[in-house]
Amino acid sequence: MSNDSKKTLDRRNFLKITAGSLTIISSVATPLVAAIASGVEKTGIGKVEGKIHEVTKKEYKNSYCMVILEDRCIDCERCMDACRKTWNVPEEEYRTRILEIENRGHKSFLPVLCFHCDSAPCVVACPTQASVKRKEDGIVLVDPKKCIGCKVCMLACPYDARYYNEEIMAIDKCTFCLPRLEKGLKPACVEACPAHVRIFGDLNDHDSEVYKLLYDYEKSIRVLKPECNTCPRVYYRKS
Amino acid sequence: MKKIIFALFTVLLFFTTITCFAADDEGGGLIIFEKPVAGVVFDHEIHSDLDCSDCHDDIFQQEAGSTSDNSDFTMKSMEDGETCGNCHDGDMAFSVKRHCVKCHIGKMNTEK
Repeated sequence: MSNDSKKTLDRRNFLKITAGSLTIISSVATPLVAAIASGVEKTGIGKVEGKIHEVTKKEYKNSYCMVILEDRCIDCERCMDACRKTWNVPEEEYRTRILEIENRGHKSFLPVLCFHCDSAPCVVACPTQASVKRKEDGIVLVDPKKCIGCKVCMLACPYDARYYNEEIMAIDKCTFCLPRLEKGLKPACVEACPAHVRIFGDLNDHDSEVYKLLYDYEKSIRVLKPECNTCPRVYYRKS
Repeated sequence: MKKIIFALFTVLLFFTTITCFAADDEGGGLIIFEKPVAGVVFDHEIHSDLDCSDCHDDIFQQEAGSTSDNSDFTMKSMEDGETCGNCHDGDMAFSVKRHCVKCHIGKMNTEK
């Protein structure tokens, strides 16, 4: 009989303990998981699918991106001059630049800029959340008021797209000329290029040149340093 | 009298020979274009198989800056047979549609 009473007590206790623990666990874990999930959404980590149409399926109001026709660049550097003039970029720094690459003895020029990555390491690295990726169009911006100039983002960026601006005492970089976009203009570098190398547009617009270039599947598209899993929004294609 | 004439002739001959060998710019030299786009070169040396009259003055004027100031100095007009396109049509010499880097060496390389 004592055995039975012991068992009943144990069962009751067991149930109490189980129910109690489950309540505690679920009340703690659910918000925690939700927080992590929303954090993941903000920065895009863990959402790398590796396929262009998957990644850009995000609901941007304006899904801005750039396609660079890489065999057309002649390094006239008009894009660099236009950008420098428009944004008062110091001489020693750059927001966009031209690299010279050699492929099997064949030299060519490669324009690079901030790629406004969907999985931007600069956004993850920033300790003050000064580096943000806009929800409406995916443009990565730096809030100079929050930036403390620690330059960790400069290290985090695999493309060396950022520089420290002495005048504003904050990190600076390409903004896809957001103030120009708001006026319905194209970015300065796109307009300055005489060889139709940089194509800028909204992927939501299926009639846009960028959409057609990315989805015609005739020529392959690449991004720079895909192993970094940054999911850039600037794509390279042979013309 | 004869001696003086002979002496003068020798001196004249000497100076003309010297000037022909002196400046690299004789024979045209290397031209680096800033307009209409920067980073473009034209080397007279590579074209030394031609006679001066093959290009001057029908296709190109010798005055410095005359070609780069020409608003018709574009790839499109070259494809139509103007300026460089007179020879660089794919038959006489490589077409302007190919081998871009031969002339468009880039601004970063013209500084070298």
